[in-house]
Amino acid sequence: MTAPTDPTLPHNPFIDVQQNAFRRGVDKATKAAALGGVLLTITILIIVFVVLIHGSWMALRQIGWHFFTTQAWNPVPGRDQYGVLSFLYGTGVTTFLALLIGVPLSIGTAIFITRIAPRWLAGPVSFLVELLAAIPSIAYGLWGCFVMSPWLQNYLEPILYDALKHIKLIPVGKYPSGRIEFFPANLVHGGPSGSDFLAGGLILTIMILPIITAITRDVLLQFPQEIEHGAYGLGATWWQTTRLALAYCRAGIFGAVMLGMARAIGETMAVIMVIGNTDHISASLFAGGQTMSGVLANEFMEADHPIYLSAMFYVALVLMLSSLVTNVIARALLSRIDRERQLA
Amino acid sequence: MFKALRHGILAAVAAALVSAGMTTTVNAVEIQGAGSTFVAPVMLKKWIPHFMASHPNIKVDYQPIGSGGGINGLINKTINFCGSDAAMTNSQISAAGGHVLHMPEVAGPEVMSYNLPMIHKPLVMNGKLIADIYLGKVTHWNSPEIQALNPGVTLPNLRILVAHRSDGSGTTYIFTGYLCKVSHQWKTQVGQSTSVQWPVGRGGKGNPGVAALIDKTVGGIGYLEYAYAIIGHFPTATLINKDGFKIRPSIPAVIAAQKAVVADLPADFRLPIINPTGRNAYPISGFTYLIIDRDLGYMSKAKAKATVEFIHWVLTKGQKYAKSMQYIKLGSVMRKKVLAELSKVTWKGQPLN
Repeated sequence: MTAPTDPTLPHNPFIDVQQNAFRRGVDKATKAAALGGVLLTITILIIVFVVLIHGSWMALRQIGWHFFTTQAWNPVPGRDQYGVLSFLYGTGVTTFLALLIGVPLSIGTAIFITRIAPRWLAGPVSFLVELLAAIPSIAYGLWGCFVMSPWLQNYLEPILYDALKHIKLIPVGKYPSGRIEFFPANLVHGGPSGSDFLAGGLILTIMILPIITAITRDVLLQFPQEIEHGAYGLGATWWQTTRLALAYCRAGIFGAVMLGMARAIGETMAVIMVIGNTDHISASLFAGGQTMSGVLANEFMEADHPIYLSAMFYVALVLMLSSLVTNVIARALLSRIDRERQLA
Repeated sequence: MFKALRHGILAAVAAALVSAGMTTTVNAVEIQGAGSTFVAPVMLKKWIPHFMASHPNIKVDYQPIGSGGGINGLINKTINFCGSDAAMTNSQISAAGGHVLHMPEVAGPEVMSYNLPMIHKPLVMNGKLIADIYLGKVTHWNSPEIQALNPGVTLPNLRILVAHRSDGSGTTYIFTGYLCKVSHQWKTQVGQSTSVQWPVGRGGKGNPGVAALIDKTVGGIGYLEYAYAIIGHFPTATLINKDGFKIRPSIPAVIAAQKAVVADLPADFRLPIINPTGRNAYPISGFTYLIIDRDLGYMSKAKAKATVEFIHWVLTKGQKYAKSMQYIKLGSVMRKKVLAELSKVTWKGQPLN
């Protein structure tokens, strides 16, 4: 009795047939386990979608697309008016602010750790930045609420107010309800409050720093020594070589930024402690706002009538879809950049 | 699907608790409550421990998941009793099967707190003024509306920063109910609910969030639960009640308010103690309720008995613990009425006692 052997392979007398069969068994089991893992992950994703669509069905049918053009959020029974626009805006603005400040800071920190700091300093700095990631978000929230927000209100925002109040925005007029001020007189319209888009953006900045820094540091460490030495050998300066490293690692850095963005979009507790929690839309940095995850955390518990609860599910659905869409767009952009580089 | 999920979660929680409880008492009847966070301190620190100490055969668990969550638990029959700061609406009652019993267990007044370090004695406010501040019509502390109620007080030329709750809460339900009573414009423009569309101001999460908003801004104002404000030593406004008397928030003033409304209370107690008449009655307070199904047939008879026993204990012996946690106990007339309500409970159509 001989086990069937693969006829395309030359006969190897050194591997006995039984062991070969065992190895194939291991291969098969591992592949099956991997496939199972993938299926489970996809199934969970699908279940989440199904639950969200099921929960929001009533709102989807009754509100439909108006959800995206309505700014008002009025859950009083009988008045029921639900729009996600102000929360989309809040999530967008705070995430944008966090990336605007956080990305240069994180990449700078990563360059410092990998390419500037002496070894004895790089370790501790790296450790301290990673420690930021270990702080639970509610702790950031409390710190933001009791320390950062009063500080912003009393020290930073008055300075910003004096600096920015003369930059006039083109007045586009107010929405009839008066709740949309796009655009107000200037970027700091309303004066310092400490509970505003700026505070939300800053707390998110701190929260996305460690993740972007840690991944950027790791990918920069992958930059091949040969290329580095080659660049110096060709007479490149330190800065030119660093730019080369950043370009070489751009896919990884981009991934780091994406992860940071995902965290910023989904972050909840810390933001609701500082953002002011109103359904306003305003280009003023000092205006209060609300994010999608924020309204869910604030109101889901007490959403006590069917359409209200359904509208909350709708917000969750939009939140999930917007993370998905930003990810898809980001990936598309990245592959396009790569293609153009290759052509050039 | 959502119902199923909730069932699943509560079942998992219950299972975990059962397994935790197994080690101590094997034959204990276990009852599960959920809902109001407002009542959680006295419920978890006083009532449940003291009740279980004197009733070793009953195990009570209470999950402070919010009044709305508690009401949903009652509707889905996943819990034995519900704690809620707002009475159930008619549609909620019909969803729960049509017959529930509301039993007020303590009263919860609300205070107007503010941050004006330069003012040393309590400011006086009335309902119309509070409504106008929350409508954004009165925007500065030295406006004539405030000055008229506080003659002789030098008010600062400061913007009023309005603070409100960002999370849905029974506190907001009671506060907006008061504003509806005292301001026609509030009633038509905003209304009453656990969350509303606030015309002005910033939202803070929970009492601590509102307190933080007030605390960090000179010129801030907000509504807080009485217990929170007293324990935190926050300045509170003197309110002018319906009959024009100036009332400081205090335990006697709230008991007086209960007395004033007790005659007008509907048979099912579904009425907050808002804007009562009377010489000493404080204008803004509400009851927090224990709510059960009128017929407890969906649970075992032992559990039904244990549930009723616990609620009876809270309404009688448990009342003395209210004050130590800055809650306000029921007045004696009120308590008799509530105990009569509890005696209406049945199990599969049979009276329980």
